[in-house]
Amino acid sequence: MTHKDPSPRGGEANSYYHPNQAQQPWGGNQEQPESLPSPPNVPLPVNTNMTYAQAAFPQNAFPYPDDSPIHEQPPPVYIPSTPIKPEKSDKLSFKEAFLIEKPKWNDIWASVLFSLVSIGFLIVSGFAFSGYKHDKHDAKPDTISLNSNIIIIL
Amino acid sequence: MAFMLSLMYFLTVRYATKLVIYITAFMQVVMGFVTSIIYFARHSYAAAVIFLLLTIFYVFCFFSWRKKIPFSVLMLQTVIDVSKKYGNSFVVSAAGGLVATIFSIYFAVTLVGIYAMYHPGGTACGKDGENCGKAKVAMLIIFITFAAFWITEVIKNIIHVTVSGVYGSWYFCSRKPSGFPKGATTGAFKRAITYSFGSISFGSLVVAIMQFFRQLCTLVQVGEQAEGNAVGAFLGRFLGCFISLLEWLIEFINEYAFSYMALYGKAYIPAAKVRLFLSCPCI
Repeated sequence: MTHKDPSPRGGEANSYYHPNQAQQPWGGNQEQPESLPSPPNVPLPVNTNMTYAQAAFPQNAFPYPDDSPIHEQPPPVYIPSTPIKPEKSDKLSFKEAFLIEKPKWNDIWASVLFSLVSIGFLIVSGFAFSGYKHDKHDAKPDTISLNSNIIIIL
Repeated sequence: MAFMLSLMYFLTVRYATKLVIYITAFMQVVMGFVTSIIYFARHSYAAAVIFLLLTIFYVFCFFSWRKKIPFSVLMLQTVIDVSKKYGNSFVVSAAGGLVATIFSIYFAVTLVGIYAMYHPGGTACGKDGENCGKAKVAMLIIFITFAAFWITEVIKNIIHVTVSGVYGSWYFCSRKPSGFPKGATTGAFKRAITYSFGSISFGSLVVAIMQFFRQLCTLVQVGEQAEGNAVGAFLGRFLGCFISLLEWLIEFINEYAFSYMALYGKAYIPAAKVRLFLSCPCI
């Protein structure tokens, strides 16, 4: 049975599930790490001296004939968006850090059922509380009553 | 007094973690042997042998777990440090505990009030005993007991989802340039009571049903035992144990499913499937 990729889309946790998409290590401007034990590092490319562009498209990938005066130099190599050293950005909110692309109210039926049960409980407890009310003249030795002292004891 | 003792234990666990683990294990073994000796002295040989075997089994388990103690020490210290650094998790836990305590008192008062009103001779009974009766009392008690189980589970799991949001934020974001997200506790709590509230209710409902049936089995077992029906009592106890196992399994799934829900906003079934996949990749 195949299992769908459980990794979320977007959000800070994406690099945890897709380590190949990890960014280059930070430079000297990185904020000093906290004294707490760090979460595990995502795996990084072995040869960090090369950019992704150089690894994917070496200089001699597109050779041209020597006698062509027009193409004396190789054409510019396609450079995908190079990883830039990230600068310290403004703090994200929790909603932005764990972004849900299309937020929706999950399992609404359960919340409706829970609300109905809770309302039912409140109604029954309302009737139960009315049973604690007694006139002084009707008080019997075995009568159960509720006042502030009883609540404090409870 | 309880608060001070809890605080002292908390600080002791943080600063003498390894010692606490070894002392706890040692005390567990000692208490097991002492209990077994007491049962032997009282000539309750069956209970004595059971406790002795369980204690010996625990000693064997402890020696096999010893190599994992340094990891446990690191995990405990890290968890405590995160909770100290982002102290809102304490506030959430304390507030949730207070709400749960107030609710339990409210439930107790309601339970007694129902009995006082509707039992034969109660305050709601008419002249000929109409409007009350044992069946009515039983139905109402069953309903409010089930409702109380569910409401208590929902309160507990809302706290769990909120605190999971805090720890998840630390785990995934504390080393990022943007750092720990602002308003993590509030954001996680908002998500718990809005988008994920239905999923929390669903997961809590499953546990509440298990707890309710386990309670019914206990009542059946006690009732059969009082009537001298050994077979009925045994069946009630056996079924109660089986339901307890199911309840443990569902809570095991829920614990991580709710944490997954806190960060990614998934519904209950997909989050539970992810949890099962983590445990059993063959699924």
